[in-house]
This record gives sequence, C-alpha cells and structure tokens, in this order.
Amino acid sequence: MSEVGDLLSISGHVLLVVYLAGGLLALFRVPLKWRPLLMLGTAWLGIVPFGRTSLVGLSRGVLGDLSLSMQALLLIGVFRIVGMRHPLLRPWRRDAAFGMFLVETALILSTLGILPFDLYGLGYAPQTLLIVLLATMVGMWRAEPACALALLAGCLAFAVGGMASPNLWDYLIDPLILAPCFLRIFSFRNADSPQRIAAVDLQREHLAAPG
Amino acid sequence: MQLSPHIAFAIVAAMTVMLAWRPTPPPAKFVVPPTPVVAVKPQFETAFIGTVPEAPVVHSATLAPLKDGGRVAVWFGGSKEAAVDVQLYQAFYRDGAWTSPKAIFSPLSVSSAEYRFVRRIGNAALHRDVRGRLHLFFVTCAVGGWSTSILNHATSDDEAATWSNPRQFVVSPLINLSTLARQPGVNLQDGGFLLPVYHELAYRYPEMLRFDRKGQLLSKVRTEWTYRDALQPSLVPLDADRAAIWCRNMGPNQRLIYQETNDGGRTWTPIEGLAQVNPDASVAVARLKEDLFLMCHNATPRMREVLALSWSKDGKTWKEMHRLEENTDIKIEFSYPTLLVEGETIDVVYTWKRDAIKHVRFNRSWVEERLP
Repeated sequence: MSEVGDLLSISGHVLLVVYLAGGLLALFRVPLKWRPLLMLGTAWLGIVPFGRTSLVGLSRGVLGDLSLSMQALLLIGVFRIVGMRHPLLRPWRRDAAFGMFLVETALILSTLGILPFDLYGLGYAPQTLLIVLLATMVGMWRAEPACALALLAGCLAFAVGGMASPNLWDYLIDPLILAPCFLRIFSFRNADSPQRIAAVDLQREHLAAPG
Repeated sequence: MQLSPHIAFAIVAAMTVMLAWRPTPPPAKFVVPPTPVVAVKPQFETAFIGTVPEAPVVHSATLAPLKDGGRVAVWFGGSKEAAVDVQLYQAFYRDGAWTSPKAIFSPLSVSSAEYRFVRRIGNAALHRDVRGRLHLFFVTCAVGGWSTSILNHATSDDEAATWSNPRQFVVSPLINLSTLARQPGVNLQDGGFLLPVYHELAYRYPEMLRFDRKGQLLSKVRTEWTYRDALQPSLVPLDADRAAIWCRNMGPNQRLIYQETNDGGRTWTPIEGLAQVNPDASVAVARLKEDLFLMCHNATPRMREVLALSWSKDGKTWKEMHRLEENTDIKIEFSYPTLLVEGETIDVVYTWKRDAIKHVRFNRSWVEERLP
C-alpha cells in the first residue's frame, strides 16, 4: 500500500475517534461553540502514542481499514455534531441504509462460508460490480446525493489504487457500516423531515444571532 | 447548453467507472519444476536448528532455498504459542550447518511498521518467486485467537539478509480477519505466484491468493463450498494448468482432504476425503516426478506423536515409507512439516516436541531406495 493509502486509512480512524468523541460531547450537551476545539483535541490525542500504540493505531489494528462510504458517513456525523447543516449532510435515507445493510450482511455471510457463493470475489476483476455500481450511483444521485458521492469517492480511490486492497468492495463498504445503517433503519425519528430541518435551521439562527 | 447536475454526475460516474475498469487476468499457468536425472548416493541427515533462551517454545517452521544452495528457515518462538513475547526467528543453513537464530519480526516491530496495533504473531510461509525475490507471509492478531489472523507480507532482495517493512494484505471483507498462510506458493509462468491460504473463522476453507510478477495481489479464489473443516492447503503443480491441494482436516472423519484444479486455480473440484488418515494436523506434499508424490504428515489417527514420510503414485493412495519421529506418548508432538524439493535434494523442517525445529535432509536416491 502506498503512503497515500496509509494516510487515507489513518485519517479514517482519526475521523472515527473524533466522531465518537463528538458523540459524547453531544450526549453531554456541550455547547456547539466548544465542540470543534474539543474534537480537534481528541484528534490530536488519538494520534499521540501511549504505551505500544496510539488510539488510532489500536482502532486500525482492531477494525482494519475503513471504506470510503464509512468515512463519508463519519464526516457527515462530525459536521452535524459541530452544528453544520446542508442537504448533503442529512442522515442517509432509510432505503439507502437498508441497501447498504443488506449488501454488507450478504458479504459477511458469504465470507463466513454460510452463503454458497463468494460475493467478495466479484470485487477483484469487478466488471459486473462496476456496472451495478454505476447504475446505483446514478440512480441514487437525486434522492441520496451524499451516498452517491461516497460511492463515487470509493470507486475513484479503487481506480487509483488508493488503499491496501485490490478489491472494489473494500473501498465501498465495511462491517462497521452495519452500526449506523442499523440505527438509521430502526430509528423511528424521521431525521429527513422538513419540520426537523426547519427546526434545526431555526436553532442555528438562534445560535448565530448576536447578543 | 447547461448540463443538469444529474447528467453531469452521471458523466463523472461513468468516467470513474471506466478508469476503475480492470480486465480479468488470463488464466494462471503453473511452472512445473523439471525432474533431475542425477545418480547420486543415497543421503539422509538430520540436524536441529538452534534455539534462543527467550524462545523456549518454537513452532511452525517454513523453508526457502537460497541462490548459493543454502536454505533459510523462519519459525515463531516465545514463552508459549500465541504469547505476546512470540517473535519470528530466522536461521540460515550453509555448508551443512545452521546459523544461530535471529529475531526478524515481533508484534511491536510490525505494529510500528504498519502503524496499527498488533498483539500476537504466528504462522509464517516463505516463498521464492521466479525473479529470485523472497516473500515472507506471516499472520498477526490484534484481538482473539488465530482465527482472527491478518496476513502480512515482507520481501527480501538480498537473500533474507534484510527484510522490507511488513505490509498488511487486505483479503477479507470481515474487517480483514481470518486469512492465514502455512505452506509456500507455486510459481506461475507469468512471473507471479499462487499462494495457498485458508480462512478459519466460523467455517474453515482453503483459498488461493494470486500475485503478479511485482508481488501485487491480483485475486483470491475460494476452493471449497461444502466442507467446513479443510485448512492449511499444501499446493503442488501437476502441469501448466493443473494443480492439487492436500489439506488438514479439522472434522471428525479424520480423512486427508484432496482437491484439484484444471484451469490454473480458477475453479476447484469438490472436496475428496482420501483413505489416508489425518489427525487434524498440517501436511506437506511435494512431487518428485510425474508419478511420484512425497508427503510428510502425522500418520496415526491419534495425535501428532508420529511423523512419517509417505509416497503415492497418484496423490490419492498413500503408502508409508519412513517414520521420521515416533513416540508412544500422545502428548509429544512432531508436527507442522514443510517440504522443499530442489534438484536432487529434499529438505523437511518440522516442530520437534515444540522444543526445537528439526531439519531432515535426504535425496531422491534415498527415496527411490525405499520404494517397492
């Protein structure tokens, strides 16, 4: 793997650490204005070695490299935690999350030997997979542009060999994505509703108002 | 004319897909080593590879030839298997003697080189490619047991005097867990090679990793779908298109597992349980000539207290020809053989009671002498 690939993998785990720290900050209702600084501090803490490795090194050793889709999800989460709002930063739609969940589950079952075919093997000379991916990306652009862009980034990284794997799947999806997809599928709160977006915008304006 | 964002995205996506397009590599063609016709005196000798005090327990040796006719062996050793102090050790065989072992990789050194946490280090497999470069594959774990292993790779262009920084191979979508190597690969005519590996998490099945001439991973093929207890394949080329694997059987039926490919490793025949017993132990197979296979294996159904050499004409029906080790105590272990055939000489290294790595060297004439 190239140094660029290492950097991409490490940045993914820095994002994960920052996102988890941001989640804690949001949970304890730390004011928005303090969050970016505290999250940057966590990023620094994440890469400082302690003992045999750093927090990022530990995360990378246990979880492996994160896919571009997962990194995009984490980035969206981080931006939302610091109070940014944009149509691209909305949580993914349930159907997109469900699709990701299904595909990843099939990949895992296939790899464990429970399904009688090697889905992962399709990612090595991935002509078929690329055609399906193109159709998926174009099809979901209007409804879910962030997800389409994440898949496009994964495809581009695969094209330039940006990660350690020669398999397209590793750029698009990884088991960690099951967690946010699961939460999104079974979340009863419709985060995409216009009312919610309006409420968030109102809150932003209130925060931005002088005095 | 203004392009709608949807059309613009579709064009960019199509161009990216075209950029990512990769042709399917042509079918692999195996390199089949020629059979030498040199009449020499039968030779059989044994030696122990030295140990170091910090590694009283050793296991899983692998062996590769050197350009000067010597050998390099790599194994893991430490206070006990899977302990955090286990390291990979290496020693050279030159002029009839083994050098003192030297630690080459530890969990800490791999962790630093790969910038990822590594807790344990284990099985290694050496391979020399057609260009003469040595490849060392070895497994590491961050959490859990061996079934959560990750495959690492280092190379040497100076006959194992130095090794490159190890790199992790991503070969599994399951946070890259559970790809292990045990036996060396087989060279391909395009300069690449095929490395037999196996998956061990939940179900155990053999896989083949195909590498190009630069040592870059091209693809992975799973050889088995139905049987869930086959692992540690030993790969032997039969001709340019055909090869066979013999696998350790972790299942209750204790039969040696056999599979064959007729298309360069793309597809494999269904698992065949041979009459030859396999007590859940690693085997090493080599082909000495067209109708003569040699196998080093644990020959009794009990445990690993007997290590034998057997021969076969077709790779399926085996006959024992010599016992390398034999003990009545089933707690005593002689195991994990690696066979290396180069020219007239045949080398075997294996775990001797977990106290040492033993080296046995013999030649084709010695084998021929023992055939009926």
